[in-house]
Amino acid sequence: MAISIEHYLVLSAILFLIGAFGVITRRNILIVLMCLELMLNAANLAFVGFSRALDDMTGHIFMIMSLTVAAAEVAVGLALVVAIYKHRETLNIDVLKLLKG
Amino acid sequence: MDLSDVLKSTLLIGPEISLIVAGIVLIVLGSILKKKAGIYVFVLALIGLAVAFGLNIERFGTAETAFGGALALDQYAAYFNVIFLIGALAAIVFSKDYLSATDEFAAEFYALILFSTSGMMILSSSKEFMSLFLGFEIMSISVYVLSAFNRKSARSTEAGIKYLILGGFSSAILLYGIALLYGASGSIYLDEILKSFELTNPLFVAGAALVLIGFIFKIGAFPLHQWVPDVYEGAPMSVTAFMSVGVKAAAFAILLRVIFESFYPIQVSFMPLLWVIAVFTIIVGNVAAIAQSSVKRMLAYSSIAHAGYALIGVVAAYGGQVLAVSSVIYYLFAYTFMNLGAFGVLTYLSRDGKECETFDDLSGLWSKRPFVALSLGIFMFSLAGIPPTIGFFAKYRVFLSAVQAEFYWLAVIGIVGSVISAYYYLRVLVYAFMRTEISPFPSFKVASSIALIVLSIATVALGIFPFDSWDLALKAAGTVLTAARGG
Repeated sequence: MAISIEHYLVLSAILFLIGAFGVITRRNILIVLMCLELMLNAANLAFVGFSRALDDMTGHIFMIMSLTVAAAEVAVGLALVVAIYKHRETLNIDVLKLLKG
Repeated sequence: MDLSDVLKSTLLIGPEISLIVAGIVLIVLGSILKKKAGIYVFVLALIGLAVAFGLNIERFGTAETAFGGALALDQYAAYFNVIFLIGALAAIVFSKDYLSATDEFAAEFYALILFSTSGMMILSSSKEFMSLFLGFEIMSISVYVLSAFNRKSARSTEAGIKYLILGGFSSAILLYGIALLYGASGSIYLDEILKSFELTNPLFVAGAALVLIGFIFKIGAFPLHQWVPDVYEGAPMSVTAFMSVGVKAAAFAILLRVIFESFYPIQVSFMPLLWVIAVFTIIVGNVAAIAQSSVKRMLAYSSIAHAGYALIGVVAAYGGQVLAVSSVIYYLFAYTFMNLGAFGVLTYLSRDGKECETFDDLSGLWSKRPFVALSLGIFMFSLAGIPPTIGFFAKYRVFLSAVQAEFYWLAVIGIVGSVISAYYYLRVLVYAFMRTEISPFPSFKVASSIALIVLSIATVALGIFPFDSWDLALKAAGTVLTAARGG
């Protein structure tokens, strides 16, 4: 069976939903950051899949660009994780409750 | 596109380049001079902004495109760039006194503001989804760092990580939407997508919906507004001033451009949904603002309500009405002055690492610092929409455009919302003018005082003579609507 664009699309949609579900339900900040990466990479997979199906290079270039963005974002995220760990000695997202009206 | 085109395009994006170059020089200078950097980095940041401002003025009256049509350097972008540059300038001036004189990271702080501003400028002029996404992320990632800048404060880092996780979530949704639009149309250019738009193709509809969700998040409108109060409250005061003005205006800039240059065919079907979002944004923002005991958090909720008023104009513009589009642009322009001023007063009154947050911190301001109290009064009157301030004219324009498009209920809800808002804005003034001092006020600050005076004069003067800036907003709206009219 040949692998068609539909397969890539379904896979990327599943990965995206797993990532979104993880961001919403997981309580550890590190795991949440990983789930964010999963969401971004699901979009990248869709880009590459479409790029192949359309026989057009734009999607590949976009994928490289968004990889760079994801790297910058996760670098900032990890720096913040270190700063938060210094204050609270835990990475549970439920302790982030200082800001409430 | 050959090499000479690239060189020509690079020369055309002078404002963005001057900000990025100034930012890089600031970081190098900051790491060499360390604690002695103080005034040098401040002046350098101002020079970078001034050059960008001067080069941006040249864009009024021209309509160039750069990098093979990826960036449109038109009046629409130029008008928004003025908003971003004013926001960055005020944020830097207020930060000068706010960051303690010995803070060795002042250079990085200014550099991040300049980088974020350059991202906003790329965003407002992007005509293609790759530069849109990159501009969006340059803006956002810099602001994530800025909101966590006070890294010794648990509240500031908490605001930073909340903003990063929720902002990253919305960027991922935006990126997935762009991927679907690319797959459906085979192009990432806004005009190509407009040409091949098919309402029957689910990829187009789903992609457009996901892209709009990403923008709605950045605007801070109703279902996705929960991050706004937390992030605005935890971030350093001058950063809150910057992002409440700049990020919001940038998100509106690209929302309008994408709607009218690319998603025009489904605009009418999204319109009822936007109507609901605008109404709930106004209600939620105003009702929650009443209950707040912190002035900073109250202003955060009020900024949600103001996003709702601007969304009224977006809804009223559904048929491509130029007056409605320009009312949105003008509303953001007006909001820049009054909101920067309101946060500027709070920045001015923050002392020794303790932020001016509660209503009691403002008690007795009139007897001790009459000019600061007076400017606070001007900004609060303007935010409440009381004439003769710029806030009144901007609200009048937005509500008028809703009435002209026959959205009478939308106008009524907007007016009721601004009547409610008068309660909590005037409450600030009750504390400032009618109570006695509780804790001593900080000493006189030169740079911030000048900025406050300029902002108050602009708020009143533009309220009495709004015509020139309004005409420019009209022209800017005309530029962005040409695609919708032709298609």
